[in-house]
Amino acid sequence: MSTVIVEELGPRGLRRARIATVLSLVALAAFVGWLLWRLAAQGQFEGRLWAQFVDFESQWPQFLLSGLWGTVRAAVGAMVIAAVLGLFLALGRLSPTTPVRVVCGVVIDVFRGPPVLLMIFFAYYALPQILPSGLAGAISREPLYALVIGLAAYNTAVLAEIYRAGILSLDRGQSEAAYSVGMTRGLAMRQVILPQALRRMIPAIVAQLATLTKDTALGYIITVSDDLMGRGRRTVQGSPINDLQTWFVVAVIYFILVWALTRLARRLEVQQRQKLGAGAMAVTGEAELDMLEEGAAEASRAEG
Amino acid sequence: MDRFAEILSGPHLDLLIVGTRVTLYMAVLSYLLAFVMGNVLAAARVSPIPVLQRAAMAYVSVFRNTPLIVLAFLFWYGGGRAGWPFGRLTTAIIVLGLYTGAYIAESLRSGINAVPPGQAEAARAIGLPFTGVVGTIVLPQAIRTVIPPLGNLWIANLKNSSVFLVIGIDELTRAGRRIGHALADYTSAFIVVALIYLALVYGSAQLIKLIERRLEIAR
Repeated sequence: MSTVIVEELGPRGLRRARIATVLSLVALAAFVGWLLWRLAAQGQFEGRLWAQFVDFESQWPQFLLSGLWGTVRAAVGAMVIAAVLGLFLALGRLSPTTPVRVVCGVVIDVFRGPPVLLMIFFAYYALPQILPSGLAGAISREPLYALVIGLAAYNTAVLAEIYRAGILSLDRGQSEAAYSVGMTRGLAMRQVILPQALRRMIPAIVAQLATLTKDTALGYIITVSDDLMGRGRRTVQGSPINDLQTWFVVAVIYFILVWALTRLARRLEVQQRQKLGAGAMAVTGEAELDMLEEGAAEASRAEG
Repeated sequence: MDRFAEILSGPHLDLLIVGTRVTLYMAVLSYLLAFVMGNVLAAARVSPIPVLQRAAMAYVSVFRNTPLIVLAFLFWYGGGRAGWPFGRLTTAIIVLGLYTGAYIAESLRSGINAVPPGQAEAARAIGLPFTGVVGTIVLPQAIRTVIPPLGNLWIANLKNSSVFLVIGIDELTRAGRRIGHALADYTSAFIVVALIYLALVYGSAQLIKLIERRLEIAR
């Protein structure tokens, strides 16, 4: 793979690259070796600390893995809610009526500004104090609801910005053509703009799903018990004392799940780019969205 | 309104001030570490040495696709059983820095790759040495395109620092929870904390825009 900086290497460059390859291999091997040696010296590779995770007779692997279902449920639940509410919020943000537009803009900024953990805390600690006791009891008994509500609130705002970026990325000619054949604003949005825009947003939405899936792990802090993190907590509390091994296994499971989603998003984005040419959406996740105010308009100008 | 006056006075105000200070302290130091990590990793990614490219790719993939809280547990509790030598706050700063570093690496790499290849080719064609190509042609252009993403990552990093309350760091979100508990009114406490975060995020965004405008070149 050639990058911008490095040209095709000549004989001297190739020799240097080979030397650098050997040196960096040695350095990397030394680091990994040292790490493994340190861990081994602390007895972290003893079989009894790992046995639990491969002993399918004891049900521990099943117990841990079944937590994955709780994690997926929380992620999908929050995503579905956020996807629907986010669309309405985005349409409100683009509304020609000034008060609606302003209110939706403020809602988006307020929900997206603070950390997602604060949203989850709000759902878990504050909502039960505000809501009628029936609903409050449900949240207190099942922290998973609070996790889903908190994640949904935050991601509604994030998805609203993704939707908005997608809608703004469409060529103005699309809406102009729709109006000129006599469509109303609503009809043009439903029949012409959204079908095209939504398709463009799919990669960004999948990427956000990956981020959201990572954030479900925060449920640990509000004592969610039926997801991967909750199961991890139970494993750590038992014997033997295997914190390192447990969180390593949990990390690997999360990694596989999130990595698959990230890869899917990446692949969809590449497909999209090939189909649309240079005008494809480049929004790949929440990090890129943080200062979208001018971003969306600029992006469509720069890339179009 | 009485409630807010109560939160913004006496011991509660002290908690908020200390919490804000700890959050900012963590955010600044971890971002510095992340910036160094990001540069090293990005350099490895654009180097002509496959081993370094692969290693940097693996690092970025692992740290981007694992929840931050799991990484915190792995280092703090897991490492704690295996001779990890650092205290809470240092651990939090290191883990957050390593995490954000992976994102910074990706931003820097895409910034470098966004410089049209013709620029570097032209620089080589007029006989600039490697350092000249990189230092005077590629990097100055790349830096301008990466300012917005680096700014966004500063904000994300600031927000992510809240996760470390789980290993016992008394940062802003935890201060909010403590005040909410003490007053039996989480709603008001979290509203105040949310406003502080909004101020920090908004202030950062303005600052980033200012830097961006300063570095802008007419095209």
